[in-house]
Amino acid sequence: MDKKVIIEMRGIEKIYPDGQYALRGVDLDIYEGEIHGLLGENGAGKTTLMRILYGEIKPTKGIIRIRGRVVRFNGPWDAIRHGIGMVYQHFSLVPSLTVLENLYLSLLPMRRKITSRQVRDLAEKFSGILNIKIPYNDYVDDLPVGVQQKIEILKILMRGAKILILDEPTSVLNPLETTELFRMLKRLRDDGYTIIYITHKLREVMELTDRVTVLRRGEVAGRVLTKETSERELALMMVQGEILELTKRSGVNRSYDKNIVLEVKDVWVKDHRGLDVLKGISLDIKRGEILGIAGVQGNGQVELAETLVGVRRVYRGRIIFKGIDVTNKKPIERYRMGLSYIPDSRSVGLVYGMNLLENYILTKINEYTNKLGLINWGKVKLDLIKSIEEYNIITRALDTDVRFLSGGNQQKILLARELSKKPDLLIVSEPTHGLDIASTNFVRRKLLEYKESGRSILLISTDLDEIFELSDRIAVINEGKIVYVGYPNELTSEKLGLLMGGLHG
Amino acid sequence: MIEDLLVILSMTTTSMTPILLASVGEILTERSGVVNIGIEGIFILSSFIATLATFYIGDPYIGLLLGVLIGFLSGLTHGVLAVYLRADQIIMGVGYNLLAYGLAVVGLVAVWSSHGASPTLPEKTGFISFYVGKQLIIIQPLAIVAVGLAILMWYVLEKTSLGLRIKACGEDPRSAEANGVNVYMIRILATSIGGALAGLGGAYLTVSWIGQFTRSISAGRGFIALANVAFSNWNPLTAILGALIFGFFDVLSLYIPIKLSLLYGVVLSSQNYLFLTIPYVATLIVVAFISKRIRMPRSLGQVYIKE
Amino acid sequence: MARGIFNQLFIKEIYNKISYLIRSLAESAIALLLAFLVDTLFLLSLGYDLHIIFRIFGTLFVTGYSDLNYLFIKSSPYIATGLAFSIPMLVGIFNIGGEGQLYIGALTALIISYVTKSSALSILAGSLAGAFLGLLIILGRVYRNINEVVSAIMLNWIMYYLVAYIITSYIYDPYAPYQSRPAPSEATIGSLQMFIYSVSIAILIYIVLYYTAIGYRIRVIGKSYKAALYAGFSPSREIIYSMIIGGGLAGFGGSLIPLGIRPYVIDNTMSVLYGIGFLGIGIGLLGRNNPIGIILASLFISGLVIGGENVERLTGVAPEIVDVIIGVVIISLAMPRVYRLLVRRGVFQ
Repeated sequence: MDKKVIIEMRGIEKIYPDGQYALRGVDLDIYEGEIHGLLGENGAGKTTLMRILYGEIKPTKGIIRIRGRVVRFNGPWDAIRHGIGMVYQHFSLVPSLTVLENLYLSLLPMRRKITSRQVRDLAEKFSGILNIKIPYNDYVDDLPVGVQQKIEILKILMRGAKILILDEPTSVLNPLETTELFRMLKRLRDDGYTIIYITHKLREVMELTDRVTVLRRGEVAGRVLTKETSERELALMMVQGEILELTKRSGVNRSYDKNIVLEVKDVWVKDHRGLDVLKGISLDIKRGEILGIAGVQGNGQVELAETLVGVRRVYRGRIIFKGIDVTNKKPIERYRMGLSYIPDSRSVGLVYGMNLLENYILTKINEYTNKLGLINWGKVKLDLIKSIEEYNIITRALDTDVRFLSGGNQQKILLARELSKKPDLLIVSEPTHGLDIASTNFVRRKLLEYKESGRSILLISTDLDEIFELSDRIAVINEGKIVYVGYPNELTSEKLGLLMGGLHG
Repeated sequence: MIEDLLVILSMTTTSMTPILLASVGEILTERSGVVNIGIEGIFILSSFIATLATFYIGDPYIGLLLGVLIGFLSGLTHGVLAVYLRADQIIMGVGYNLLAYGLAVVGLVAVWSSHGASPTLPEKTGFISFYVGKQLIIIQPLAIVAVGLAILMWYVLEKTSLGLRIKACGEDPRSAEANGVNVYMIRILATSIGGALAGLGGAYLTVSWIGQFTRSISAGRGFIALANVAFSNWNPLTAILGALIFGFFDVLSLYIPIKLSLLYGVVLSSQNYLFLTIPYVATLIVVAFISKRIRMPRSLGQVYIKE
Repeated sequence: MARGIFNQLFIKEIYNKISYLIRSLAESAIALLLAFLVDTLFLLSLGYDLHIIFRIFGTLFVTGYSDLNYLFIKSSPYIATGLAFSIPMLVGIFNIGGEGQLYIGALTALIISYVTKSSALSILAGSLAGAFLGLLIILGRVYRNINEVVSAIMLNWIMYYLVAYIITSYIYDPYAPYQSRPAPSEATIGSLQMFIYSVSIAILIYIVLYYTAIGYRIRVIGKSYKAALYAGFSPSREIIYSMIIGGGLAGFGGSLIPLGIRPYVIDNTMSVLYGIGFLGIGIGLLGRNNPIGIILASLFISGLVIGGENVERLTGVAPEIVDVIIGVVIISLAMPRVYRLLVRRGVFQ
């Protein structure tokens, strides 16, 4: 069937003031009445591209045409007027108002004098497609997430959108709700709506879309018709080129202690909504090894780290550290036993507003206090200076607020602090995120050195280079489950891409 | 006994008025997401200005109006500083209370050369009075106005599109903004109107009720109004009930010692003080009771920065 | 190698400290300027001429500092109430209950002084009384979600009347029944003593805050709740401690007053106690929640307050003019942005 091009994006570029680029020379064509998948890993640029289409961000370069006419959006409302609507992972519904009130609120800007009767009538028109009996008088935060999402979509349809952009919509849904979502989207497509579907999940792309555009590191890596491609091919497009040098660690025999430092046995954790976020995780980490956890962001890595540290509670399963069951122990107890954690967010690991000296002792106060509880700042200063030398931390003074240090130097402080405690297990999350090349190499080297001294590291990273460079063994996490544990040289790009994309190759 | 009850009831309608007015105003302000603890200061300053105006212009209703104006301007300032300059709302309120108190006392001394109280107003606003049996019952018209305003506020918040927008600002400003609501503007307006209502309550204190301005004209009533806002769970209709309850205790603290001295011929001087604690103890108990059951607007007091 | 870095860093440290000082002073100066503006406009509208206004300001700012004795007496309780606001503020709790904690502290100290004739014991008792009140407020907040501002204000008024009641019912002076009996002379303390006590407490607090584990944890919680959780601290415990300390400090400040200010009595209008708790809030803010800053701020504010009393004598303007100044100062200090804009530019990086 001959479909018209409804959206053309040409030469889209987005460069941030600090020089980092999010998108480079991206061309995208969307046909009317199709479901178009936008596939890629985290940071590939999918969301950025769509936010440009939706008018939230302005591109540094490039042109957008809708139905053949060039458009320039100054904000989402321009896009809305052109019939584009976007559904984010975080809905823009006011949770403590009712559904009717939310719908009413969202229509007000377009139709000042609308009455609630008119709102209802309009909403009813879509209730068939959405296959829902609209709960007008229920408060939004009482509704299940799947229903909330439908209301969000309803809202967009009511505003007259003919083009829907959905960003990772299934990340908040259970399998049943996902099936229902797909049914609904296909029905919308059959009725002539155009849908752009952002995801990193290969299965969804194959099941739902008509055509796919794959993004990788801000550029288009491939464009195919869904029925002419396969998961393997898509997986390769998503990660290819990243794994080329990854086999540099060609099976060098690292002999490590067969002793097991951490055992995770069938651990299940729920999030604050009551949904399972870790589903039966089992792992072990041996003494003297680095275990790398690879996976697309949002699949449970952060929750896993928090659970091992003790910030999240396990409702089923056990965690055994150095032979002792720590499942119910508080973080401070685990720290004392020899566990250390460097979180992915530096503003959690460091106290912004305090200086280097003060941050240096955050997780090891007891090393510097005497019986009276007095802190020996002199000793702190000496140790800090030693660390500054060893880690080559660049700072103007010891009492500078850490927030003025560069990201790399902040990370070095975290590393210096946590490694100086000589933990038996260091859990580190995204250690080189946002760092320049020199700092990145430095940090990785330090981690390797530490492991070679006979200790263990649990490395969580969405950077595949890093995982392959550092890990003795690799585990892949997907949707709260460990789907693979093995040695780096057993993993091919294809296999890795598939695993991360949600398929068990 | 019945007469006592009737007197207390009629006095309660008088005493609940400033509390209700300020509560309704603050409910509006807080539903939009801003907290203004400077109500106490607005009471003091607007009652001073109202007294001053009534003396010099001669018309207590003008005094009332000026009180509203003072309240409005104070609320406006608070709103602008909180919304645009992202000032800490609680600290600003504390500062404003001190400032207003200072201004009023300096004014008191400067204008009337008195450290305690202004002279009594020659004319106050009118009131409705009638006899029930032998008892004179007084109903302040402003009391009725206050109840009417409370009902109106409830209607606006629950039944109009404006109310919807206001509530969205207080619960989830980001979503509100995404839906085209001008959060800044609504918050500033809400705070200004809230201040105006408090100003009305403050002016009422002297121009309709007590009849003269004193240093302790407010005596913490502004904070009792704040407690009433929480007690009413941010619902103007419940606030009517709350104001009656708090007003009742206020009256009680004045009435009991007088009644006791009449009945038993005892002239209580120091025990008076104990009775004066009644409204505050009552407020504390009420607040202790309800605090677990109430739900404040989600984004109350939090700084919202437009992206 | 290490010595080189050491020296380099040392110089930078001094630079940092000085620039911070200058920044803080600039912020306070701007706040004061604003206060003057508001005051001037107000006084003009009341009918005072400009030259009288300048005379008023002159009196306020100059005369207050000439009598050192009086300055010590005035500033000692302010140091305490300033700290009483700042310590809980560091953990993110508003202690507006300084007034009530001060009242109960003063009363307790007075009563204990009758019994023990010892200033030390009386002060201790007063501090404990204040601490108890602070504990009540924070327990209400932590366990029953009672807003600490409302409960503190209610307790302030309750204490006001309670103390007045106890004075006029139980400990009144038979020759002057509207005030209490004076404290026994063995229990009184001199002005220098008062000042030394206050400053010592401030220095002690400073040491606790910056040189002990408890002080460190308190500061971390105030700056970053998330980092505190990550480090394994339990914020609610520290929050409770901070209010106990805060209440105790206000109670301490209150104890000093009947024992140090002639005629060593409290009267039924609390004239000698009233407002000190509230001004403490301004002092805490002006002193940037730092004990040393608070000492300086309270000396400054005390001078203003004394000046205010003089102003009344000389020009007839009510001493509450000082409240106007401090009120505006507090409001200005509530605005972080303005200062970042005006002052921070050159000092960044």
